[in-house]
Amino acid sequence: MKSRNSLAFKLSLIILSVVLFIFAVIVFFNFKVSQSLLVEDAKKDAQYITKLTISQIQDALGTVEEPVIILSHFITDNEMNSNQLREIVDLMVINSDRILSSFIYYFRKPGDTTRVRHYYRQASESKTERKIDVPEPVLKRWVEQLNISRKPYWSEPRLNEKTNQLTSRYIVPMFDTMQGNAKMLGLIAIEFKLKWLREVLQKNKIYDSDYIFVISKEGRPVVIPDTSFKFNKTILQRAKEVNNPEMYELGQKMIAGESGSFETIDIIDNKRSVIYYEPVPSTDWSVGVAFPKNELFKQLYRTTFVLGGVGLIGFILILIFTILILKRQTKPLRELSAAAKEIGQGKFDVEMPVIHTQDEVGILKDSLQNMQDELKSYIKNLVNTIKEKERIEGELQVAQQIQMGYLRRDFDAFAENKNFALSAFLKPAREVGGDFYDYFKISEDKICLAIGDVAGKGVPAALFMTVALTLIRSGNYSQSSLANVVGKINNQLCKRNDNSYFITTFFGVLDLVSGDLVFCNAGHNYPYLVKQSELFEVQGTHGAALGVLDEIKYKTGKIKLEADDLIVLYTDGITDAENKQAQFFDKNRLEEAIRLHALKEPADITRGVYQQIRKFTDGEPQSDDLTIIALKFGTETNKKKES
Amino acid sequence: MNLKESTHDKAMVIEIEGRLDTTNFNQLEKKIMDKIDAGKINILVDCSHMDYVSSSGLRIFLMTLKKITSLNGQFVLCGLQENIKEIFEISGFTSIFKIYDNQTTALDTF
Repeated sequence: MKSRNSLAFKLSLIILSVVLFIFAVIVFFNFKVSQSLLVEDAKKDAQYITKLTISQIQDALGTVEEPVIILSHFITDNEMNSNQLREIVDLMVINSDRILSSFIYYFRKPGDTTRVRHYYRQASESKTERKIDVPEPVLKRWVEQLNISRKPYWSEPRLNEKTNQLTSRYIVPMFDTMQGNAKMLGLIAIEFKLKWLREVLQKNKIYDSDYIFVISKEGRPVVIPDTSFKFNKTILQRAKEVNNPEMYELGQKMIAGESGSFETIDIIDNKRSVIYYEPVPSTDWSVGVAFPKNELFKQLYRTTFVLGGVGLIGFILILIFTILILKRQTKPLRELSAAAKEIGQGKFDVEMPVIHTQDEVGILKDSLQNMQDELKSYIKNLVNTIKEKERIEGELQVAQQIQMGYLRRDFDAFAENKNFALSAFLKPAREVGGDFYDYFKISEDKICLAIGDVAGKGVPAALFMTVALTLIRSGNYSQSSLANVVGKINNQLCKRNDNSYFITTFFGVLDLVSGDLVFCNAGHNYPYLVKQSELFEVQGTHGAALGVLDEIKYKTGKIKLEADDLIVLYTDGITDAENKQAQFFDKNRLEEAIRLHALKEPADITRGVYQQIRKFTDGEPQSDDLTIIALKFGTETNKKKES
Repeated sequence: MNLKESTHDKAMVIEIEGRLDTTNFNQLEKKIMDKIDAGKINILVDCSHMDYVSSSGLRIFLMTLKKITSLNGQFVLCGLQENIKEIFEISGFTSIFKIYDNQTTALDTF
């Protein structure tokens, strides 16, 4: 993997961040749902236990209550004497594992609370006592209370100092049934060891630290796990003491005999717990079952932790595999991009990576390969075309050499020992040109001078020019008139001239003895004559350019040259020479240039004019062939120049 | 160079604007040859806005003249500027082509 910017790494990072996020959400959701499910379960369990507990309490109390009720009935249904009453009291403590003591509070006369007899029997003692260990006011209060309610009554739990046990008394009021006036006969009661109840209920645990507690009508603990909870305080007082308003509320509800579930910090373990509570019907007590939440959720935490751990491992595995897989999958892409890069740098022969898939990467590879093939073949074509072009150019250069070879340059030799001097200069615009010039001897005393310009450029013009040149050279100047020769040449050129090439030409036949110059202008620009430092145009057209129309009758003109006269022939390449400012050299500048150099030798004149043109065009490319010929008459014969 | 064409009942008129030289003579050649192939053998070339003509351009005129004449049509020029007239005179074309001053006069001759 190359760098941080690699595709595989980026994709992996994105995918896994998303996966991690989704996973975290799922775990969180699962946790919360499980939590609430567990709470619901706990409540159900609590409900079950509570109901179980209540029925157990009721059963347990029932075993205690029943004998007392039966005995109370016995008392109310029969005349009783002291002995009988003593016996009954004894009888009641027989189940001494639960009963601490018993008493009968008997009125000598029914309804008369002033004269009472106590019968009190403690389980640990061996005989009945004549004083109940409850203060008289309390007894009197019970009498009053039960006279109204006429129902048995479980007293508030109380710590029995003698035995240091928590007890509660079941007090049954007795009413006279024999005489039908339902006057109270007294109270019969047993003192019940609440510890026994606790032991019974202890067996109902589900978890390790859940517990059951029972509170009395006034909120005093009836059954409570071993703690430092002081028995003489009510739940409400305790709640205030530890400043736990939730517990206070719970206490109120329980005392009010409601049932339900509650979340609070409990005072037993000082943990956040779920407490389910329900009243015990017969005693006005209330049962609560408490599940410390962390106990409840212990399993959940463990599970979630494991889940998280597994998830993390899974995540790491996914990360590793994702990176590996992505690296593998993007390998073709990387190879392709490397290949593309190479192609971009000009290496068209780079090998394409092997990709067999049908997906986008496969398509890309095919496209790239096509492109590469196209490029290769294009380059090949290009190379061939260039080679071809170079070949053609090479041939054109040879053609130019051949063409230039046609043009005579033996000016000095030609004019040797003669009374004239001659020089010509031709610079073609392309490899082959359409301009030409020629000079040749007609007879001992006559020479012919010709200059021409083919319409058009390039190879066609060059070919036409060559033909024209050949015809000009082979003209019968000695036998025919110039006009006739020109006419014949024209006819020849008109034949098979479908492309309408034509050639403007100027012919001059100079008689070296007389100085007569007979000339025929076939559509060419007028040459110049410098006579005694004055410049003239040699005007007059004697017929159309050669090759235009056949069977033209040409005419001729005549001038007489004298010593030092100068003839300058040129083609329109000279006047059409253009500079950067789109100005043309024109006839004015040409005339100026000729005047400037007129007194020099022809070679210097042509050179001088050419320099002038070059200075004028100043680097602008040459658009047409440049040709200039200068002939000076009557000069002394050229002495053989020192070489 | 711009070429404008318009059809008159007597002939096809082509106006040349600008220079006619080696760089663009093919344009004119193609246009005229297309018209001839389409059957327009009566053509007038208006040179009033033609500033310059090189030998390549003259060649096209010559070619057109030969072709149209062989098809029994008419090829005529008008509006030649002074310098162009000079070129035509020197090269001897004035004797070969029918040259008129303006379109109206030229069109009358068809």
